[in-house]
Amino acid sequence: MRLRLYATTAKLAWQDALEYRLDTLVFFAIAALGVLSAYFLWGEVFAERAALLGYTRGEMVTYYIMVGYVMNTSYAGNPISHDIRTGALSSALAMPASYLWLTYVEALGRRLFRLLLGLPVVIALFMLFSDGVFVPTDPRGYVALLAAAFGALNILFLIDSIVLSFEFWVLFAGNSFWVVEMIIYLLSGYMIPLVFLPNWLQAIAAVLPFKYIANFPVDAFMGRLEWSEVLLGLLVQGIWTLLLVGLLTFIWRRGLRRFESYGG
Amino acid sequence: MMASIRKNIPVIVQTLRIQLMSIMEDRIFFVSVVLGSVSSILLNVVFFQSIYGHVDTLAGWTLAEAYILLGTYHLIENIAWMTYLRGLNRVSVWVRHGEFDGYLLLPLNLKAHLSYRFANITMSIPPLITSVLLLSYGVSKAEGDLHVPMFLLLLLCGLAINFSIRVIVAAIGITNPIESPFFLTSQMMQLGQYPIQIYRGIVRQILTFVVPVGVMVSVPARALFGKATVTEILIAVAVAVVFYTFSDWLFKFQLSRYESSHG
Repeated sequence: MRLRLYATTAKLAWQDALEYRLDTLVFFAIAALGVLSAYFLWGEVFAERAALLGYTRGEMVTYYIMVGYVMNTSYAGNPISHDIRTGALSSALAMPASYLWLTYVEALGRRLFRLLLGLPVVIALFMLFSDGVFVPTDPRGYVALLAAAFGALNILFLIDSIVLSFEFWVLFAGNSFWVVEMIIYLLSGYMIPLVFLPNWLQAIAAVLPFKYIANFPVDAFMGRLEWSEVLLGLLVQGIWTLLLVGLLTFIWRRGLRRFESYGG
Repeated sequence: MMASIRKNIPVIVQTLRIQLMSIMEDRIFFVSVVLGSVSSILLNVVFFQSIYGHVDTLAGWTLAEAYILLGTYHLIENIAWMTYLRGLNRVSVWVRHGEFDGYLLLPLNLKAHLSYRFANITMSIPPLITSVLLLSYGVSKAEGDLHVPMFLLLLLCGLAINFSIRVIVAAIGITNPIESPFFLTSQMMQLGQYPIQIYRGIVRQILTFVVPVGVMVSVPARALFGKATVTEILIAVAVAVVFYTFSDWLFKFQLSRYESSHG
């Protein structure tokens, strides 16, 4: 019965997202502006060279298109902070299902919808930059992208939820996510492929989960990793997911002990 | 607009005081927002340093000159955040939620009021200082003479362009509410944080004359270290004047077309 409840929640989230399909499409189109600057900027960098740190110009354009697609799909709002602050969590806790699981499946429904709706924009970008873009031909890359994107979505959701759960102790904890977001942009490879960062930053990125949000899924898609490395990366994503689930559960239980709600 | 501001100085001062009290109510919120905005500047520095680790120049810009460009971009954006940005971004939201009518009843010039009503001076000071430090660092490393008066004039033009673009988006939102005006304008502005010379063909023309974010930042930065041509300077001034005039007209025109959905 709980499975049916979760499935219905995901379906409702999907339908809710469907209502705002035009807004989502416009969102992706606006986000595509970032690819425009990347196209020209890296065109300048590659003006007098065929490749740099293992990337060609075409691969770099593909990298930014796909990393933008993965990241903009994975970010889709999280109500935890709002529910704690307003007391809406009280009624949610009375439901015959885990609040965190319900939030997760709701997020999954919205993110899967964004994954689908962002696809036309991605295809349009590949067509727009067709003279200077790299299109992977190995079908395993597309399978790896789907699997790794799912792992990325889970990791980002968990990090988001952990930060927002601090609303139990600190009002408007969600605002501190801005700082976390900057760290994610840097260490996930969203801003620039990790190989371009200074060695000390690369070493930090290697031991944190952020690179599995953007850099890993896109490198897997582009065929820059051996299949054994892809499988290992997926395993590491799974391990990080479990670790973050454990951390979230610990923080959540501690937070619930001090949660108080007022009003009718 | 200036006459309206002078007349309403007591209102402005009181509004800013209330804003400050509201912001400082939650100190952790204040610290996290400040940290976020400062770290976004540092992130861009890391980005440029990562690229310049492999190239000597980018479209003719050295790293020091790129720091000046970046400092100029963040200086303009942080002045916008400090003053008019939040007010103008709310127009679409108010229209969608039916709250815009109340603002139309105020005995004030609406555009001027929005320019200071949600001013955020306190939280903008740390990133503003960071922008100036970045600019100063770039200046210290750049070669050649500095042309500060011309830089200040063109910085003013850049601010006028930034303000005008946001007014245009707000004006459009009066009759066609935009879902995320901040996201739209921030994505457009980010195109200007790179040297305009990297853009080619029709895109460069668009970023000079249609959505002039390239002119907004690159020309003042180039003027500071003396590389801006007379043509570039004249274009920047002309674009600033034209856009400011057009945005003012468009805002008034859209207000005249506004139809409230509430009876």
